[in-house]
Amino acid sequence: MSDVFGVGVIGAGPVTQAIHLPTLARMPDRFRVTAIMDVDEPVAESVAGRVGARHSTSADDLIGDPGVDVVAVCSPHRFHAEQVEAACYAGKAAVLCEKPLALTVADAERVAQVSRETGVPVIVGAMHTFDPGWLGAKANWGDLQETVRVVNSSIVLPWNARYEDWATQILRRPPPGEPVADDALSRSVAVRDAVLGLAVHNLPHVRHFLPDVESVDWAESVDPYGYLVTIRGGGIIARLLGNMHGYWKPSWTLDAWAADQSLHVEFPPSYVQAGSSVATLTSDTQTRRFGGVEANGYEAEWLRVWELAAGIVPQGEDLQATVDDLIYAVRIADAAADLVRGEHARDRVR
Amino acid sequence: MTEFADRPHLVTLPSGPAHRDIAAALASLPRSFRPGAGEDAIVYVTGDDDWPASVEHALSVARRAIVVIQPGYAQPSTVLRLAERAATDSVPVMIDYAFASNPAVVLAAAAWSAAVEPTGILDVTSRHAGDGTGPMAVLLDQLAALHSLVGPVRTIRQLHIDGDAHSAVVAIPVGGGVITATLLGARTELGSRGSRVRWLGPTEALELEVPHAGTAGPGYSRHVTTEGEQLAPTIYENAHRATLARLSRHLEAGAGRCDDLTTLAGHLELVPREHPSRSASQRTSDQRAN
Repeated sequence: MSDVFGVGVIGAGPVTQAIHLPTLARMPDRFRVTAIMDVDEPVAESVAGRVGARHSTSADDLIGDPGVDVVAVCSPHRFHAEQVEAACYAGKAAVLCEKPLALTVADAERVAQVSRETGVPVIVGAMHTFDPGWLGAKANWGDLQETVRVVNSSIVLPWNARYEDWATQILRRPPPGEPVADDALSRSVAVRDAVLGLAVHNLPHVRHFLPDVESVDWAESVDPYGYLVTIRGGGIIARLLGNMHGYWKPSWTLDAWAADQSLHVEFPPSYVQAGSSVATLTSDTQTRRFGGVEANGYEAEWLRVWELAAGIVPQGEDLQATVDDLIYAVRIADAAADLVRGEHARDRVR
Repeated sequence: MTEFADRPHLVTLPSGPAHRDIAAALASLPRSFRPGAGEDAIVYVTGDDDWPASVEHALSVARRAIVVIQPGYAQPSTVLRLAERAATDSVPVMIDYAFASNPAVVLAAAAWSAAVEPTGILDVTSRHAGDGTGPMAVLLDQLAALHSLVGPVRTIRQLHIDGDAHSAVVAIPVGGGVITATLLGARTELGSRGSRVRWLGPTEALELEVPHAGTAGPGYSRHVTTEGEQLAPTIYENAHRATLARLSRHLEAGAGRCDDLTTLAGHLELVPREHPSRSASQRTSDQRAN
């Protein structure tokens, strides 16, 4: 096997088109896209044609292709776990799975077990955990994890379609869906989906500072799409705010505040290949800045896939950390949904 | 047109950390105020645990005006009683908040009140020095800012204060509906103190950032739409000076009554009865009564 790995991508939607194909195009000395699968054959054919790959409408066909060394699972969330497992059992060199790895904790733990049994490394596409700015700050923040008191995660973005359309030249995408119905079940489902769909990007970072959630104090679904959740644990307060909107300005930040030090991270939006985050560490004696470099988290995660596939680095704790991240996110999302259901019911009688 | 007093009002400066900042503000308003003492002097009260007792004492000796700096928790009934007494005596009692009294808040209030609608969310964060009054005072400051910008807060739906940090969720009636505001605050020893409030609406947003009261750095007031972002003019004036300027206008207009204490009492009434900060203050108050 050469050190240029053939990549097969399952699912040819906006994430594949706007994120993974441009990223792989920047790494021709490490990857070559050999196969694209989508259930919509014209889409599969069109996207495959752009990168000179063959196309298919069958995931099994792609996974069984000997020209595919690395499988990228970019299908709808509900298929992730089974397709990652199938790629592991097929003895691929590595698997990259878009987040989330699975929709339940049990499925995620089973995938981790299959990865260990087969020896096939699995990386989850949580790009911000690979972000150079974040990693630079993490290596330099000293005792911030012990002294932090407040964590503030804020993801306020224009609708995804704005960036997807720009990045993929897919025109006339449908406008955002109807507002969430004002009933307890709809609102609780909406907050769970928003936490697992949007907050999930920052939750691995939040977990660094607040690993043991003792209480979810507040949760609500924010119109037209978003969430507000406050959690506590170990004397630390974390506020998770997410909101998608119709104006132009993106603002994706993470703050960790201790009395004598603070961390502020500004991430670029997804899809746009706009380089890394800029992370700023401030203490009473200095302000240090990390990131702001051309390479982004997507490129770093694919580099990690290459290192794993080439056997340069062992799988190590990567996957277990990812599973633990997922468990963390699912528990918060479930507790938030329960709270919204209860609070909504109380609101009705107020 | 700016109105000036025939002769400057005397001001008795506060003790403690605010002394220097108030003195600096006074120095920049020489036609309206000068430091001094006496029955006609304006009296400053710092908003520590005993501030209602200090105001009560000041009302018995001061005849001009009283300014309370960043008040912490007090029994709402006590504050209401003070408000009534001040009104009866025609002595304005004005509150000098670090955030809510910043001129950028005052300048932005009309635009905010007109724009904010129930859809979306309000987001308030503050980083504070924690000296003197602590997180409850910061929470009350945040509520006062929301009162000015959006409207009266109806309920505090969730509140947690943990040492020198706090989080809260409040509901504010607006435009025929109710909008949620999420409030967050933490103590810092760094110089980057200040507050920010954002309204994140479906098709536009408003953002307002103000520095700590110790600096006259300008606030930043922005209106974000699909077309771009507009930065509104603000001024280089800190909250202490803006409070003094407001007091000057109030006195020159001959107005005795000031609603600050009544509004504060309303906010104190919203603090959940079971909240530790409230019960601690109740115990203190009971002990004093005994």
